[in-house]
Amino acid sequence: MKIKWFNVSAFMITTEKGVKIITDPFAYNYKPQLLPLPPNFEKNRPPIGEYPDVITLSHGHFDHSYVGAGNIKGVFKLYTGGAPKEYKGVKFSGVTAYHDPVGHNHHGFVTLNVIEADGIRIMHTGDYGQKRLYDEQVTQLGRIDIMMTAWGEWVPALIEQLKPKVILPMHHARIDDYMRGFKGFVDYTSKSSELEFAKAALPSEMQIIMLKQSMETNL
Amino acid sequence: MAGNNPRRRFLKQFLALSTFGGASVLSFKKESGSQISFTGTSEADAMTNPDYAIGRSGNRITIEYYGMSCFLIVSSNGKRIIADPFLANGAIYQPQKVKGYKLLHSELRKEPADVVTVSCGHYGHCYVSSVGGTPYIYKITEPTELHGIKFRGVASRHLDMTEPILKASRNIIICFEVDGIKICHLGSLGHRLTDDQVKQIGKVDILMIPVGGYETLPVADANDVCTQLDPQVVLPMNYRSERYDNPSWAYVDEFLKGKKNVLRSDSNIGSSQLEFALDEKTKRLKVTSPSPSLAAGTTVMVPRFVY
Repeated sequence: MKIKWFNVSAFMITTEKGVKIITDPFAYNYKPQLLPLPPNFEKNRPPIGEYPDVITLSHGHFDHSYVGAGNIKGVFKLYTGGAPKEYKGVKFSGVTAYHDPVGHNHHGFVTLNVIEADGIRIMHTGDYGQKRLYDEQVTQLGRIDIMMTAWGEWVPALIEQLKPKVILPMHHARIDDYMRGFKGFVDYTSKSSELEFAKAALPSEMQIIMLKQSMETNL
Repeated sequence: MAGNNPRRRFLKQFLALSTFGGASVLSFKKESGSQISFTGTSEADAMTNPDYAIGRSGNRITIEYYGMSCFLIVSSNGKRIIADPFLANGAIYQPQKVKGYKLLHSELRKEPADVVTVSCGHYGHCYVSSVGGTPYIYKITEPTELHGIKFRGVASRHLDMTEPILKASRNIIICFEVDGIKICHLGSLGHRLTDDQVKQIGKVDILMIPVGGYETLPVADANDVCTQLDPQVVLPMNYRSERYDNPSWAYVDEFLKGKKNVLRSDSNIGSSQLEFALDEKTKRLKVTSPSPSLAAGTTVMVPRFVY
């Protein structure tokens, strides 16, 4: 399967049979209400513009749930958590978690979407912000091969609890000394925004692969 | 009228008395002469309308109005279509500090759906993450069959104006047919239809039309569009109400002015469900709830909000 990073939390997973799944599409044409505008602000950004089969959403914030205005094209299925579903040979399941550290839950919940395709289990954490996963959540998530996560203080706990083989940093993740300090860090920012994975060829030791952004954004 | 049938009334009062002890025969005699009137769908309908008591049957569909432009349409075989789910509370769509008004509609709360139609890219129309289940999202112009229902989209436009949040001036009119009833949801249409668009839309039984005026059809244009499409039932939407007190929108009363057949069921009494069926002989639409019959010509129905 192929995994491509657009920007923010939007990835496209293309399975071997050609089923396309896009995670958390963001509002490409977002204009901040507050002035002054950010330095990279541009009025006409291009949309994602893909024709996926399934969209998974972690939660309803504008940088994670925008399907309108040509951002996502065609007719597609939506998965936002709840009961596990299978569609075109791909299994979807969702585990509910907190957006913020427990005790500061003013942003409510996010769904940790787990996508199982070609024998690989991919987790997308959305805006997950708990300090640690509860034991119940770890049990429900099960084995995780590839983890897409924003970069923050929750990452070491996620690595310890889920033991993923590959981590794809996302959502304003930037390479800094903190990220370089992790074992298995690989810099792909100058090489490619797309990687190919196979179950047999997953690395035995954990790798953190920082992909290249294939889209610019105002976010 | 079956509601004035003395035997029915006797039966109803007998049941009410027996539930509350049934000791006061005197009060029964007193009340027996009084008129009982109900608004909307209520227990009275369940007793007087045999179909209602049995449950939905035949080609009967249900429509509910969630506020803004959002409708839930349930077909007779239980397929659920949600049109234009909206964002009820969020800093991006509802900048209270900037404009000073609040959206009091409840969110859809993960209402399950089989198909969600999206007309335009505003968060008042495309907030799909409030919908539950694993629906298909339909927002294109190519005809597509989803869950046995054929959907068509007709390209149209918003008003061309500076939009504060997301610039999205395209609009898709969604047409579909459920149990033989042709439904057309105009989304956030902002202009009169061209002849070509009228031809593409074709015959319409139930028309959902925005009448708010701001970013959508002004009332005069909405009347024109109703004339162009000539539906049997018009469901106005996207208007100012106590739930969304936006001063730049128009109240629904302005659209109802001068209309002959108006059926208001937006009081807080009764069910929020509207039920429709197709008369198999005349191929005309009939309302089975709340009103048993439709007058000739176009009827405007104002449904109540679900929450």
